[in-house]
Amino acid sequence: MSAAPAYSEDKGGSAGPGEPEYGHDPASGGIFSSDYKRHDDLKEMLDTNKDSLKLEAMKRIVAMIARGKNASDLFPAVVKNVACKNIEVKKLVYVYLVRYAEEQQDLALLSISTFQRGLKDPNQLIRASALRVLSSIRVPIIVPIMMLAIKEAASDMSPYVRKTAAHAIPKLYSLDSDQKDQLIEVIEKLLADKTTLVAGSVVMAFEEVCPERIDLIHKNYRKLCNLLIDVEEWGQVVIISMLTRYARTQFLSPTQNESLLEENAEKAFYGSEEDEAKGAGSEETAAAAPARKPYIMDPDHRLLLRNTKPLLQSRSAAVVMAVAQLYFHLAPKAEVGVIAKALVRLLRSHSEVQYVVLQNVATMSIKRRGMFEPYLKSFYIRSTDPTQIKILKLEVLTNLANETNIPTVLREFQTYIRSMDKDFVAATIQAIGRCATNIGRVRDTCLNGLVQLLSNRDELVVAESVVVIKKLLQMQPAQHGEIIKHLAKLTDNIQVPMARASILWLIGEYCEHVPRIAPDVLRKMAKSFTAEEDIVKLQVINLAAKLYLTNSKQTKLLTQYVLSLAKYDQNYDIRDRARFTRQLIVPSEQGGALSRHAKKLFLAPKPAPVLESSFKDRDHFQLGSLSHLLNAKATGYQELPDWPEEAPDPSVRNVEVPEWTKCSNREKRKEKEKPFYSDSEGESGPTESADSDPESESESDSKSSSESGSGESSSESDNEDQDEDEEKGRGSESEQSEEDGKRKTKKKKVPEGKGEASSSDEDSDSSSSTSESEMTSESEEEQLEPASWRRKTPPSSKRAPATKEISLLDLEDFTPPSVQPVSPPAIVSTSLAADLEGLTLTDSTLVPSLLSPVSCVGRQELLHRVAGEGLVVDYTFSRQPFSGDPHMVSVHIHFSNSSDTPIKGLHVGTPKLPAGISIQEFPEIESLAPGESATAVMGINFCDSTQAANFQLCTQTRQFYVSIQPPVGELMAPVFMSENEFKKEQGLQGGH
Amino acid sequence: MSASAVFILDVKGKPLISRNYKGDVAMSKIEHFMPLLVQREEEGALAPLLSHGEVHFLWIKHSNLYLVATTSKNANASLVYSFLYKTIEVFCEYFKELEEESIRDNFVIVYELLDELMDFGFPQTTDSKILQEYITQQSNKLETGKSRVPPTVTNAVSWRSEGIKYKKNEVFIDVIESVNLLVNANGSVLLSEIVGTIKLKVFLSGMPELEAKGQFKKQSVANGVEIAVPVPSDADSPRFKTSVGSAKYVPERNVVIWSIKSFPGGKEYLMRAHFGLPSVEKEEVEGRPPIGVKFEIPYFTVSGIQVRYMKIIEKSGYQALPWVRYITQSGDYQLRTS
Repeated sequence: MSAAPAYSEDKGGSAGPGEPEYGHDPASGGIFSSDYKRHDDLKEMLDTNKDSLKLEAMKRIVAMIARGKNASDLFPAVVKNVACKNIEVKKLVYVYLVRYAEEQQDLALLSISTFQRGLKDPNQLIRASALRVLSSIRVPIIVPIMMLAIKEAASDMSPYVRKTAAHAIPKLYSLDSDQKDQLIEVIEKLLADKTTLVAGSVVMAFEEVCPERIDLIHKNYRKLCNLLIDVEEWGQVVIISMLTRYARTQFLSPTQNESLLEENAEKAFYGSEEDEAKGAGSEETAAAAPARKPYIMDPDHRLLLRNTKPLLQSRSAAVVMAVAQLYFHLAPKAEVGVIAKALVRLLRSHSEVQYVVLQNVATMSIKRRGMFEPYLKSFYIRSTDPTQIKILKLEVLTNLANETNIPTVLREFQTYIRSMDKDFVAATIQAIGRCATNIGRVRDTCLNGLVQLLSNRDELVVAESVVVIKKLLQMQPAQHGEIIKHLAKLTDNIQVPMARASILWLIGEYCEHVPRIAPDVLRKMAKSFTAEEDIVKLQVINLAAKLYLTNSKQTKLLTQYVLSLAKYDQNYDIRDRARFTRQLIVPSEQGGALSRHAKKLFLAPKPAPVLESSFKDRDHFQLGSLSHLLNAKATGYQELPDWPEEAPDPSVRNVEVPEWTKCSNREKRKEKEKPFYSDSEGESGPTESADSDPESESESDSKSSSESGSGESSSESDNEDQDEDEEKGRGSESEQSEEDGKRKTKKKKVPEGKGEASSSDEDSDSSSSTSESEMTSESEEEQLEPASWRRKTPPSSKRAPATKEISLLDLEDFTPPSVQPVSPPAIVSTSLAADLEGLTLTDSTLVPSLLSPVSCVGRQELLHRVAGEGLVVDYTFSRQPFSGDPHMVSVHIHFSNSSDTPIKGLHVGTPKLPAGISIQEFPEIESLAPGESATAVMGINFCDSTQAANFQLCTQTRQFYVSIQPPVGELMAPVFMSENEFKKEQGLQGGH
Repeated sequence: MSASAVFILDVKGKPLISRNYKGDVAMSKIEHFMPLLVQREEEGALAPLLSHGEVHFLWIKHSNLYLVATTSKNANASLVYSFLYKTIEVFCEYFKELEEESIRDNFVIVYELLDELMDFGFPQTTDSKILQEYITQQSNKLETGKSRVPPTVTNAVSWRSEGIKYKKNEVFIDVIESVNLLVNANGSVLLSEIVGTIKLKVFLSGMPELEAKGQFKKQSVANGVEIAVPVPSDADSPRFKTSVGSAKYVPERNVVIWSIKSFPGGKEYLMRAHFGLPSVEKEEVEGRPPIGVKFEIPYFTVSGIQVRYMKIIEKSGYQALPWVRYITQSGDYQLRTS
């Protein structure tokens, strides 16, 4: 903060009133741009009683701050308003205070009492913001006040205030680090907090203040793991990062055993190509492992892995990265693979995110190549990628290349070489070189490819190839005399210093392979020596020395010439090198002992360079950290500890009662939603009918249940597990149809029939009396209607006895329903209609065959008493084919006259029907006396649709427009089927 | 852990607005940013992370603004980038467009937002919906005073206010898939992938739980097809002949753009283009950039994903209407030519 004022003052100066750019700024307007008066003006506004003026003034002041202008002279005027009642003004005053309090410490103290009052405010938001501002005022004198405020806020009722307290902790710590011990106490208290809101912030404070106090985490470890998923994204990142460190101190390495096996196998497979370090590492573990007990993962370790895994699907790239690094650092080798996909997904994100991700992937892919191999193609480079991304992808591709995929990778590299982006091309050539050194099988292929690149028109490509070829040739120089000759010729053309230097070094080193060319090259270089770059000059000296030692006859004079030129070079390195070389190779009078060994010194066999990734060993930095990106320790980097040799006591994490409020909430919610599921799956009919239908249905069920199963089954269903419900929704079909099969119920689908599942449900519900279906219906009933409703229904006296019902169902002959439009049972039914509805028809012993199936269906209102001027019309679906026309369903229409005059001439008027739907009218009812009821049957062909059939219902005096809309489940009829037939049918429907 | 200060710079690197969160990095350090950026750009090593001694700049660019976070600590880089992008998102929600003009017009609100988004270098409330409840642009909400308090930040569920009510309860579901494709010069597909997003625009009262089920199942028309064929930069006198659509030479980008309004499936169209080339050959060889293709296919998903149902579970059990729309877009669709 110390430099900040200076900065703003600077800016204030430069962006002063005259600055044209700000001229149009409406916030500053003309007022500021004039002169000193501007502040008087603002002061005046701040002193008024009008909130609107104050607000206007504060807005202008904050705009000044935002632009970096100096507004410090307004401090006294502003600070007065800290107690302003208006929350908008207050907010802006806070903003101002935070900015200037440090500069004007004495004046800032004036505001403290307001904040202290604010801390006691009944409104949690005001308490929080008072604490937030108070803790942001960097005035050392108020440290005790801050400390007190934080302590109090840490036990506030509101989690939001406690969260603010957690935020205030690092602020106070940075102001006065002597408070550490007291702050740790607060942190400890807040770590125990059970709300998700606080968790992220307090862990943040922990990381800032006392990251070494890992012991504070023990008791909270499991809780943090469990609530992690509900914490907001920023908090998740902090917690995951902290838990990674924690786990590294508390658990044993999960890879200790596997690493021994796998790495050795890998090493054997790739032989010498495997990097040295890896080999060394595995040897270490190999030595250490046998001493250890067989590894069993601590359940808490497992908990962390399990609870973080779903976060790999987080929307936030930061969270995904955090989990990825956690898995990389903590998971057993076999499980780390899960992060690959998530990381690859992040490659579709912003290029900055890609940059971070690719750096991490590059590091990971060295250690764990296998896990990214399936995603090789996701790292293919697009011409639209920024150079940095291209180079990182290239790095990853190179790391992933192995014996099997190398042809694909090389083909891809070939495309890249044609890119316009020269840095990228150079990097590609380097990558080819690395592949060649790592994978022996393709070394020659790569070398040939690179040699071909030597005739590329682009000099940079050639130069880069030379450099890489040089490295490759060092591996088996004897076989490549031709290539060296080819390179020697290039010295005439190629100008890139690094490439020239490389060629010269090669010729010098392997001069015995090109004995005739080498001296000639030296001759040419001697000629152009003065014009060469330093790096080339050094190599010319080098070449001269080597040739002098091997072929002094031809090159003695040339060497001396070169050395003389170098002796007077401007660069002291070159002068030094010349002097040094001369002493070494030219025998002097003193008979230098060294010159006798000169040949050994210069022409000693040199190990081939290892071309390795710059990301090797970067994983000692915690992945995802800035230090990893920089490949250097940033300030405050917390070293990721090594796994302990012996596991620390796991019981420290035990907590007495793991109480989990969240969970119970969830369960409750689940319970609530369950009925919804079973509902929607069981009922497929349109909502309209679904409202009324189930009632009557369950009504009939309750009847059958009370007959056979009685009370016991209902209590059972009360305790019924929700899952079972759901299951039934799906299972009911087969269950019930089985019963149907047994009973030989004649069931036949009307051709128009739709939605077999639900319709058969209803049908068999009504007819069956076994406990299984009872349970279904019972539980359904429980959900759909109040229990009292059921209790009200009179006991079975009026209902058909079970035996009767079964006999009814066995009847196979269907008398045409149209025969008895006005039948006695219908009259009975009206009398009972109030509480029994459709059921009553089953009661009838007179026409059992006809009426029994109707029993199950609820009545729909066709015409209301008021609308019908006393005429009440209901309808039910009888679930039988209409006798007159097999394509029609029969619909029973129930008329009753509630007026006090007879209704005459009831008939169907001209129907207006949608295409395909047809109606078979019922015979006219001549007269319906007051209080009397009648039932008629009409046939409707709904033509497989659920569209309504609209028609007119006419009396002598009136016409009523009515409509019947079929619920899907009603377009069917019973059908007779043998058990075998049924099974066959069932087989066909197997898909359900 | 996170940023020390956040700056918004104009295209020349001049700070438009800044907020110092921790005070551990001198604000004047930002002056090093632009020279460093330019230098790195020249070297061709431009990275989203630049360092000047102990100070590290994590930056992103949006239209012509730079958003820079400074830190000297071991910050979590991906968290900082996520935060910067979130900041842009929030500003865009407030001002529609985030550019120099909108910052200048809204200094107060930007500063207030910066204040609320981050506290002492650690991101705080970053949800624009919640922020909009209490950082408002209108100054006319004065009289409410103390009673007006945004309750949401203090909720257990911080991302949704209580008591939301809509007349019509509707959910709009957009299933958007973008196809990324990379094709070799000889026509073989190197990489093809579908990146799918399901976006919901929700107008539902209360606090419902939503559950959607998608299912993969298996003649459509692509709209607004745009094919960009790269041509040499020294080409001249273009002549085109197309069987459908129109072709246009865009010399700034060195491409011919062939646009077809509607491209029915199973059809094949042809474009012929003639260019004159100078007889003098250039020294440098130009690479041949890939052909880019853009398109949009409505009512279609490449993966064949379909939203089977949308369950809306709310205490009151109201009726709600889900609307579903499917769109396939071209993602990164490149055909290599060499």
